[in-house]
Amino acid sequence: MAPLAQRRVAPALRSSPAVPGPTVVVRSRSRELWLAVHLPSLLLDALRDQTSALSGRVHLAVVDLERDGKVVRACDAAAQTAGVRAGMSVNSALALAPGLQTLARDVGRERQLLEAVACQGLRFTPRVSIEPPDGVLLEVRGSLRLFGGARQLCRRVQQEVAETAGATVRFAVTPTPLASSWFARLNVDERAVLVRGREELPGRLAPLPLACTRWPERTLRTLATMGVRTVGECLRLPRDGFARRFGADLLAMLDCATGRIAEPRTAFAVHEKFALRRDLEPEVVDTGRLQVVLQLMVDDLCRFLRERSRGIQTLEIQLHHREAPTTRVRLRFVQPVGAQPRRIVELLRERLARFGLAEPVRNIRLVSGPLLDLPADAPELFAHDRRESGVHVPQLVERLRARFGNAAVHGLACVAEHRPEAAWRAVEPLGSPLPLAKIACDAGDGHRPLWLLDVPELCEAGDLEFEEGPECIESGWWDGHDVARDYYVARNRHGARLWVFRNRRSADAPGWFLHGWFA
Amino acid sequence: MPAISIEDLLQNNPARLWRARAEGAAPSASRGLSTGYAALDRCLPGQGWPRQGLIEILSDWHGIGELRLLMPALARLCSSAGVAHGARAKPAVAQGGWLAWVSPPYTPYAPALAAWGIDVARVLVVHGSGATEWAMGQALRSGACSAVLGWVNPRDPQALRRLQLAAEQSRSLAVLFRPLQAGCAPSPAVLRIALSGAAQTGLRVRIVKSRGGRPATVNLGH
Repeated sequence: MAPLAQRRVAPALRSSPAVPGPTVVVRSRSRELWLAVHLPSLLLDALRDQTSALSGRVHLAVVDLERDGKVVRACDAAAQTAGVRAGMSVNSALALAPGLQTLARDVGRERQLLEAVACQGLRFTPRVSIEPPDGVLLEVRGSLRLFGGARQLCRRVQQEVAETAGATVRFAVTPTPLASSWFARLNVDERAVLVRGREELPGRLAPLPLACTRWPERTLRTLATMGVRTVGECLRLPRDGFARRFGADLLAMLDCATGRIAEPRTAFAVHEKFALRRDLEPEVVDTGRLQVVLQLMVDDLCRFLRERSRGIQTLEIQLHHREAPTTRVRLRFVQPVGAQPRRIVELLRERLARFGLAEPVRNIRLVSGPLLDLPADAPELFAHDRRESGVHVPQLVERLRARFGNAAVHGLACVAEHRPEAAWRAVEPLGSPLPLAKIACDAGDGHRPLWLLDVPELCEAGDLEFEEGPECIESGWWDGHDVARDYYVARNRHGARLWVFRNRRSADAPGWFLHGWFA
Repeated sequence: MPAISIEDLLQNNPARLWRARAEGAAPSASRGLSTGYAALDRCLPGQGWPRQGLIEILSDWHGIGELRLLMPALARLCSSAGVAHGARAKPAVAQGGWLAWVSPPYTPYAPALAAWGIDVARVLVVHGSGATEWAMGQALRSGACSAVLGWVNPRDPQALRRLQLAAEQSRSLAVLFRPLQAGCAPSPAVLRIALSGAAQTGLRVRIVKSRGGRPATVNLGH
């Protein structure tokens, strides 16, 4: 049967073919399985510290104050039995439940709570995604065996989540993230809705009321006037007509839910930092004792890093005094540093050794920068080679920089440039090489001196003996530092060979300039 | 303590006695790193730069050839090809490591270094004010550098001694550049070389002190 032809014959919305359209080959074991964690009482749970103080009062409602209308967003069970519903105006709700206690919604806290749940989700699977405003999705196909099946896994997640968020959690496990969310939102039971195969999805989704999709109110109303109230009825509409009337986005959502097209999810990543504060009971006056305390704190930091197998590149030590402003010491590592207490402590000692404390220190705070992935360690097979190829260089650079400052220690790189002063650049040691460096080094234009003066010096040409030249260098009109010079190699009476030049243009400074030594 | 005659000592404790001549006779024991200048190699014990210990280069003028003197050896130590060679056998001086310049008087010019065959990506320049001996010592002790060049003039004999110790213990080529006048004061360095140049004769290398060798003068020309 040709669905396209049939679609033309029967333009009525209710008629077949169904939205899934031409049958796609669906494998019975799809590759993904998404566990949706829905937190129906998230709005109330986010305000738990306030609600617990009001435990005597039973009628509670969370109100969205950002909107003009002051709409009830969520309410507790007691208020619900009194007839209060989400979406009601506050006045109506107060009429129904005169003793209603209203609380302002806190979106930030809600987000925090969701992230906390997502963090716990990371204990079960590395693929976690947040579904705002009140859901978290975990891809659990690979974790099922370890945790003893979907039901068992849901029980474990429930236990974990109950500690951070509220007690009410709803689950659904299906092959697509969207279908899982829809099922979880409608689930009134503690048991998870379970759909294993993708081919079961259209059938299982069919009876769901469309409200679970959270489509715009207007769309839902229009669909309702057409007699479409469930997902199944929606799936039965002709695809092109549906897309034209309600937009391609909604059609894509239906396709995502049934697994016809894949839905890429943004993965949730933890943004953790290490922060530790230690109060010093007798205030510390000398840096020696400070180091002892810091050593212990660094040990804690290293334990923290080891547990996560991550590294840090920056570390700030804040010394709080009684009166004086906080002293801040910032450490910066060339590469992310993992749990290497000796390396961190050594650098700290270097910085603190020449440090005069303005006032006694009352407490210390250790705050790390963002956690970073550690550079992959080569296996020990070429350990000997590795020692020579600069594994100690980062430590050396850090130690020198701790003493002389960041700018005092640098590497070198060639740049493809004709102007001598622009043909090199100070670069980050161990940084990635400049793209054009190779060409510049191979070009080898002329004879170049080993020492270059940063600023050419005016010199006497009287006792110079010219050996080579002139080499004309005329370049750089595009960046305002254009030069037009004739370079010569000359020898002075001490036997030193100089690289001198004379400006070609009369507008530039006259005379001979020393630009380098052929040492 | 009973007096011991020199003859006794020579006969009974040959191992505990260092003999200048013996060292010259068995150069294979501590073969140096060839300087790249045959005339100079012949005058140095071990036929080249000593692989351990401090080398002092005394000169009052920049640009007379103080870097040219080192370049062949540095190119061998710090070329990009050196890494592959280094893995083959454990050399006395680390090859394929970094080249550290501690407080150089001018900027080492990257294109010229590359032209000599030095891997510019493994060059580390440190411009420190004060505590440059410390920086040089750190570079030597780190074990990351094939060669450490320092423009440091330690006034304190103790600091010089510490540098020599660090150079002795490290596997890096350690070169200290000092003014000629410093040559009057004693130094624990293994090799001390005074450089002078003239327009006609070119670079003249005078070996002031050489452990296991003899003072000599070599003319390297232009």
